[in-house]
Amino acid sequence: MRLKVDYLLVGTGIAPLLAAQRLTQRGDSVVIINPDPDFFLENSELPLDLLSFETTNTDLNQRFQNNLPETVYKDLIPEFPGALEMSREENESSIQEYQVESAPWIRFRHRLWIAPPRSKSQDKMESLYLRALDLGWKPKWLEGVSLAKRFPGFAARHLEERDVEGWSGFLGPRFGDVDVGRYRTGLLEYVREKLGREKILTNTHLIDASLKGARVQGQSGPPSFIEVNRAILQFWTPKLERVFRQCLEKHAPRMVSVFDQAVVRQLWEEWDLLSRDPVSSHVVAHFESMRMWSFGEGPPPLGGYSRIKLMRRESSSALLGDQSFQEVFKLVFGFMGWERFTVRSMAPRIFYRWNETTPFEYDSEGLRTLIIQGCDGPLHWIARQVRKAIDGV
Amino acid sequence: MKVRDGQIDVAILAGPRIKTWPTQGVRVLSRHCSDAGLKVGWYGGNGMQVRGVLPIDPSGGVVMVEDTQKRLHRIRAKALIKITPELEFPMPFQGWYSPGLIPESSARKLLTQGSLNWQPVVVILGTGNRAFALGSEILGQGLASRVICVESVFPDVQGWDVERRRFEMKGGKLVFGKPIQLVQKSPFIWEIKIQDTQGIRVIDAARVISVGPFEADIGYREYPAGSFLIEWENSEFSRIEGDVETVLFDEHRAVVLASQLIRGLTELTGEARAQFERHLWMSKQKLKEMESLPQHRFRYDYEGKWLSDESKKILLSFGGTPKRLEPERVVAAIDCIENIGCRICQKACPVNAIQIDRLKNQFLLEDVCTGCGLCLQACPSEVPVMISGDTAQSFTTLVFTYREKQKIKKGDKVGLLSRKGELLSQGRVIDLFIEGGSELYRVEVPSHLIWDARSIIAVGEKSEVQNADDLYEERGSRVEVQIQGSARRVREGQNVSVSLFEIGMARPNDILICEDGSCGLCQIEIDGVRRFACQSTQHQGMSIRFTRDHTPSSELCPCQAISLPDFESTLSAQRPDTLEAVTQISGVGQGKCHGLVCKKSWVRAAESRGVVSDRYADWRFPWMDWIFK
Repeated sequence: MRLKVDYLLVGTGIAPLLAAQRLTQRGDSVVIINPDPDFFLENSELPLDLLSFETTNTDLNQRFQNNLPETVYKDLIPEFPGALEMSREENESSIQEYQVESAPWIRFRHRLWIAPPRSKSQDKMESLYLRALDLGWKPKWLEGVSLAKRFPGFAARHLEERDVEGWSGFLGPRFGDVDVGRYRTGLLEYVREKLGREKILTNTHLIDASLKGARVQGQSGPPSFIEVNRAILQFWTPKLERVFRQCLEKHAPRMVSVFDQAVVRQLWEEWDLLSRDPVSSHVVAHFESMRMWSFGEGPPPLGGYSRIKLMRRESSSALLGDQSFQEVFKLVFGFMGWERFTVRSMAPRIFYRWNETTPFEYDSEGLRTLIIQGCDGPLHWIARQVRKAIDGV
Repeated sequence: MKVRDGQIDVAILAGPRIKTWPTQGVRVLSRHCSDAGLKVGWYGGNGMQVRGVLPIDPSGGVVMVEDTQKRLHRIRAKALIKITPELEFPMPFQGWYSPGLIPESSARKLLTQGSLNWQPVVVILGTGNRAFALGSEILGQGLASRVICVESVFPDVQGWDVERRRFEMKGGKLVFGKPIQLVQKSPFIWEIKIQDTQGIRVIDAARVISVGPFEADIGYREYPAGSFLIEWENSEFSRIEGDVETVLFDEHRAVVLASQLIRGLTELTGEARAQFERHLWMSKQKLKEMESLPQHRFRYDYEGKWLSDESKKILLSFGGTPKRLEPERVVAAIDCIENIGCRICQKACPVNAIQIDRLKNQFLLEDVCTGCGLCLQACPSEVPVMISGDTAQSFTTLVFTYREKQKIKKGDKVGLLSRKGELLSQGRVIDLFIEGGSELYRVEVPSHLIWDARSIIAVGEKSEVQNADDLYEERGSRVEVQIQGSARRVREGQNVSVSLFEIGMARPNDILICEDGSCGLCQIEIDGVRRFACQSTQHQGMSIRFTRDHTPSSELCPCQAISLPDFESTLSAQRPDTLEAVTQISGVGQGKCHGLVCKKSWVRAAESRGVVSDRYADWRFPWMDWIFK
């Protein structure tokens, strides 16, 4: 069967699904092709903003505003076909009668910045505290035990053996984080029903394009042709960077240098730890290059989760090097006071910091093609970028 | 914390719960790779503990290894092979996840370290060679009066004819049916219900042991494809006698895997290449033969207790059966008709009288055979016997091995058993001699039985039946400990998990009895400190508390409480394409045991519902705790 559509969407993660939903809402027909075997293998999507500030010029206020749970909800709800639930205060019952437990949840979590005594990171943290104060975010300065007990996974045993008193930090505003897996599952299920399985092609690559459409190659069989009326939309994630670069080299070589400068790559290590004690699910901690939060899906349980996600930004390319272990051990053994810990998994993750978010547009042999940026990172950011790009198409 | 860097071509890693290291497959693989000039490293065992793996895009990865001095090494490898021990569990049924059902590895540990009550019946789920071997071992030691192997997946028995024969000759029984319920009736008796074509069988068993196989042999798999990240389900045995079939598979697969690595990472030229290609061709042939064996099973036909004429004809024309019998000459008879690829007897024969070439129907060179009996001792399946005599006479002589605990003396009467384990008649032991360290029994047998009688059994009272109390006394003195507040007497220095089974207090979470504490399920509090039961030993006065409730479960993934119907409805609703998506959508395998208990079951369930069968390897590394010193 020869397919004829308005838009051909190329991507590996959630972005093409969001785009498909938005485009079909306005009456356009689409086909999605995904070079991966399915939409669950893209690992550059995050439940929350890691708030990795590159420069002091970052518009902190805007960034904070974007991460408020209400903003996250507003970003995510238009394309989602069902309910998004929101969890509230720590002492509130986690689930209300009218809420759907199996829906994707947006959890409210405070951000907690901490720094050890007499460290460089303390100066940076103080400066961030002052900026947050000036912006009216009402940060709360904490020290010693009162700071430590807010930290997710902090063990109160043998406190005297650790220099907890010297540590300081502040509790920042409550931001939202969302269940990426559930959101993706719900959206995929709906889009699949709406488009039909024949219009979501996995394990499929774009071979070339012409004025009439595009030739694609599935896992087996001969290549097939998809007639495209309007445009090809390519959703730029780290996984597809090489492919898109090759497309640009072929069709718009002048844009390659702009393409290269559009992003700065960030390498992160993701550690999945298992705690022996319940971990508070209401705080995301920032410690130097690390972010740490209790991990689970759905409404946060009152007793807390036992899994901890630790993301550590790696400045060199030496994953799991001396520095990694020093920092993790310092935090886990030195500050949190664990005697042992279990690493469930370790994985490298690459994210982009976007210098430019306007889509790249070029002609593939006469067919309009756009590379849409900002398709990695926090889920609500992806949703916003995709919406912006689609509305501009 | 100083991390030392290293670089290697092929890193072979001992996965969680590996007991014996390196395995035979690992040796063969590393030999071929290093012969081809690749730098190969084994990481595992007591010397180097693997701490984690970081897959690197697009291929290979980084291995974190801790040495005996607690130093960390970060080793970049072009190819990673993770060795996973087989852990077979059946598809979930009511009450399956309970201390009444244990995997083979735990059963073996309880057999060697514990003094568990195995009477009256042991049920083994699975009819592969390993199942038959374990059943034969339990019966041979006289630990249980009856062992029943249950085939619940395949239409036919999965083990070799010779292994099945050994099992049946020792008194084992076979049942075809699906287990549907397991309920504890008393601390040491479990009631298992098995649904078969006749109805429901109810068996009161001391223990149910899950051995499998419950699916076709997988071998190794690369995930993602082209990444040189390989997971290999490997036998734990370092010697072929331990598990002939799996070790043979391992050896041949090692050659095929080595060829994949060599082609990808280096280039072989000249004579080395030619020699390797020869090995590869041979291994591929052997693998093909072994893999096609289930379609060409050999089974004897019987007319009542006796071999049918057709089977007897096949037997007498087989190359391992002597064609000429003489009163003064002892000659081996090896009716190993199935093409199983085992060559243990051939290697054991000192005069090269065994030359196996099944295409030419050549097995035994009976003119060369000296009747030394070494093949009888070498064969793990106890197939060969020796024959002397003249069938024209009333009696002939057969020589048997007899490895049971119950002793037989010269002059004793013994029962003569058919290959099905049925009693045919009685014979008399006329001589008993030791050859190569083990006892052989020369038995006078009615001549008409020489092609039917293939084993002996002691008759009369059992003189040395080993009961649990005897073993208890043998295996160490008892001490008093507090378990959940009540006083119990256990053996000093015994593994806590094993002793919990012995005293009937094991929890569902104790069933894995890991070598390295890698599953993390059996946590207990010993004198107020949290520890793993499998890693702790008993001592006088210690107090053990269970840290949480453990109740038997019927779920597919007991840690996450995901039932099979829930899992299936999730799959039908979401229709994921890959196994990785299945875990993310359903949450199976994400619990405390990291999927050790449920992985094979949910993979089978997902594949049966059309999820892409590219198996995914679990590169999470939850193997052991990092301890702050």
